[in-house]
Amino acid sequence: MIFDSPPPPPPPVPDARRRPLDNPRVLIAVAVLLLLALASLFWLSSRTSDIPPVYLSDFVLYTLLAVDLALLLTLLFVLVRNLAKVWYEQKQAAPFARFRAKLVAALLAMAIIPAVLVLVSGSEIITSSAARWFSEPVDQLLTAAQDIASRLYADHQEATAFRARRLARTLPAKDVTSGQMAAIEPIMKSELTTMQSGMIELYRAVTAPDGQLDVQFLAAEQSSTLPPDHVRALADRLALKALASGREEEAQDDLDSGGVLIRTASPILNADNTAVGAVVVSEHLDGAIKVEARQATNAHQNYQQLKVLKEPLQGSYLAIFLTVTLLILVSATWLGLYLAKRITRPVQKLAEGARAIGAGQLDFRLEPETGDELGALVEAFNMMAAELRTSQRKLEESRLDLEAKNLELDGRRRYIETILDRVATGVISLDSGGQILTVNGAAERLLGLGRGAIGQPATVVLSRPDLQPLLPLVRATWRRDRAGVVEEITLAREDREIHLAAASTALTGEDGAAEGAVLVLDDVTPLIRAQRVAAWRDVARRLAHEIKNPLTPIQLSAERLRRHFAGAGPQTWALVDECTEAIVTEVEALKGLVDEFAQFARLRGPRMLPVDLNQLVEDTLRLYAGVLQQGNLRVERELTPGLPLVRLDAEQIRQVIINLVDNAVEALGGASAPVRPGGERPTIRVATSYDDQGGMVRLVVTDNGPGVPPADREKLFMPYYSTKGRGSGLGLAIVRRIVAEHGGEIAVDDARPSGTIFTVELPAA
Amino acid sequence: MTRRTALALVGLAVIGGVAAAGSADINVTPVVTEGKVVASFTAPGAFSDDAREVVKSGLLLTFTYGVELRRPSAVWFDRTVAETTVAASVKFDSLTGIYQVSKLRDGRVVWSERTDKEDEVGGWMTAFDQIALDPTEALESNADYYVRVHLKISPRRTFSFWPWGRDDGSGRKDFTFIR
Repeated sequence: MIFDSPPPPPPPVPDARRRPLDNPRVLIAVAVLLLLALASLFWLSSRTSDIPPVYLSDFVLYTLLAVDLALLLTLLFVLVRNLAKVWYEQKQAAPFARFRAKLVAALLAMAIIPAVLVLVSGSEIITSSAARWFSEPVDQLLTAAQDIASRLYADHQEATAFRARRLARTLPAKDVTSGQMAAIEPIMKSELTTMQSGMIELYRAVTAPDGQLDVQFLAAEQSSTLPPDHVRALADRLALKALASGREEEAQDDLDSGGVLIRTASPILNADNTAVGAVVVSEHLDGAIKVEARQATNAHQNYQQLKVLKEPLQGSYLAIFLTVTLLILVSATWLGLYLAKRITRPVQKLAEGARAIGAGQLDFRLEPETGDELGALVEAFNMMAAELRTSQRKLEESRLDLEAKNLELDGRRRYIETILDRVATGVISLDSGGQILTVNGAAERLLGLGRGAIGQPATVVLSRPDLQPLLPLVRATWRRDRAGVVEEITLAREDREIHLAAASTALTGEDGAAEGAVLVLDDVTPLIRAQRVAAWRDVARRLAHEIKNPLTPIQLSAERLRRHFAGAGPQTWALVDECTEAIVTEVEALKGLVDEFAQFARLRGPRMLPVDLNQLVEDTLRLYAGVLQQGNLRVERELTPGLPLVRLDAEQIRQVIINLVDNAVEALGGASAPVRPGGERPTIRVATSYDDQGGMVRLVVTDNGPGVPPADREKLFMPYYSTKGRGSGLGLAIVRRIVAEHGGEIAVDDARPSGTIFTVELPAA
Repeated sequence: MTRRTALALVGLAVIGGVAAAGSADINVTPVVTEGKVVASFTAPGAFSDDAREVVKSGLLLTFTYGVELRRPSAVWFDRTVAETTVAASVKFDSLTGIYQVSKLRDGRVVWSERTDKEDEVGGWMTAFDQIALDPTEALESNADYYVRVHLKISPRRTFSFWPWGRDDGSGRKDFTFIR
């Protein structure tokens, strides 16, 4: 058998369920995003002091809460999904489900418990820290600072209001109305001298073209220390406002130089108490003072804002902390579940692969997902599967080879068995214990054994009376070991003799141990019979030659004597006539006998032609029509119509029919045979039939005569054997020879209740 | 874990509900004039002590009012026919003691005033007069409508894990539109 080179191993089965997160690049990207998110949160938490509280408590808080909610939902989704998967796998009794459940539980506990503890403790720290943001001394200090700052502003405001009010009363209303500045300017300058750094601006009321009340700038006096970046328009609006309202108006104008002008505008009333103008007194507050005051105020306000927004700010910090915790928790949970999957999935795949290999799928391969030990394990599994596949293929090839050889051996065995069963030689095999192993068909037929003989000791089987002559042969076999024993044995079975050429050989193994024996039996009965017939034919030929030659001179001499003594006396003539008559008669009888011998000896080979046997039987029996008409004897025909043609020599088969019918007539007592003892009419029945299974045409001649003793049946067909006490005894011998030369057989059997049946079987054409 | 921490973790969500339960009522007065609807409303309780504290701290306090003209429906959601947003904000300068109050409509400043009187601030922050509601479709005669006003105050002084969709005050007034 030619073995092909082993095929290349099949490629690993790709995992269709491989997810994007199995890609290391995606994992790195997710990790980077996570780190960025955590860094952003840490940055945010470190910059909360720089973020306006309102922004922190509104936008940031809302955003963080939305992120927290999303993370919480993600965490729940991840947990519920994976726990459901673990539960389902356990319910389905999936491989390594318990191991994975334990691993997931351990990893989840490692992730969740510390995170929850950190969250709880961190929340408590935030809550307690928020309580420490505010303290009474700080509050009092900041409030006092703010009061001082606001009082400074208020004092300046009151001072400007006082001056403006005093100027409004002092300045003459009519001069203001007329715009005569002679009396006004000294008053304004005098007032200015009382101010450290300030400015006095005077306006008079006018009516605008559209009829609206308006103010007109009249004069201004200012300290030399006053920064020049003040804007008069602001004083214009404040004057107009005071004029319109008829009361003092206050304002604070921040200067670009850093200081502030604290202003008060006071209306100037005439005698009718009508506002005819307005005076605006502004005091300059130094920039440094303003900054300090504003700082004090801002510090107080910031502190108050913290107090006001304490709750949402605390919530913001909690939200930040919660976000960080949830991010870590989600990441740790997912990472734990991912690791559990990464650990258990190769193992599960290995289990699935082992099951597939166990189920005969030797082409099953796993795709290594990692280059670590698990990957090496998968590679080893694939190598094992490949080697198993190769071994299985070799085994399969060996099995097929063995099967072919077994089939061949089986065929040979059956062929030998068939031959043994079909051969005419009987074969019996014995084991080393002397028990019969096999008996072929010929042996069964020759020895009359059944299948029950197999397995029994040969000595038991052969102890049957008719088989006992074989026992010495078997015993001699064991005694002589390898040397074979050959004997000619005659068995008497069913009233006939069977001549067997028996050979027995002991079988020994290579080590010399006895393995059994084989008993071979050849039926040599036909051979012996043929030898006898041949001997008789030789005798017949010699008899015919030696006896017939002197018969004619004897007969001629007798007739000469008869003619010579024709004239002799009556007594002499009577003696001669009687003697010569007897000689001639006996010579004629001897001639007939010699002719039969000659015919037996010179019987030619048949000239086979297709012949209708029924027609041949009819033609032959027609010869007996005249002979048997007078007596009781009756010849019946039972000819089966439609017989196939038979290749035969019509003359020889006709002689067979005549001989068998003549024998029957003789057995019944001749043509005038008496009625049978049972009152039956002597009858000869000639029948034909066809055995389509055996392909044989049968010719059966039956009489109801006295029959043939069983001991004489085999001898019937021997030459020169006759039960009639007369004749040559060659009739049935010739019949057997003719039938045998036609490839047929003849058998004799008893008829019921009496008589003989001769059955001739001839092969159909 | 202390009781205070527990409250911080668990009970903060309830605070929003408590705050919502304490929201101010808004008195709404719709007026139909020449086929148009104008609404005036006041929220007397909105400028509360909490609001005053916020203002005093120097934070910009904003009252944002959503004003909606709606058509009620028995089988489906009520339909909004017209809506507008007005707001009032106040900023207090504790150095000068001056309140700067502004009113806005649809994001534009429509009025501004300074004062040193807190009572005036409260009035300006909680009262709006003659807010015109321009419907997107002609109002149906003899049909029922209502004007709904809801208030949101910024910044909040409370914290809730679910801060979305919570009003600090609301009011509603039903009327039948008669042309």
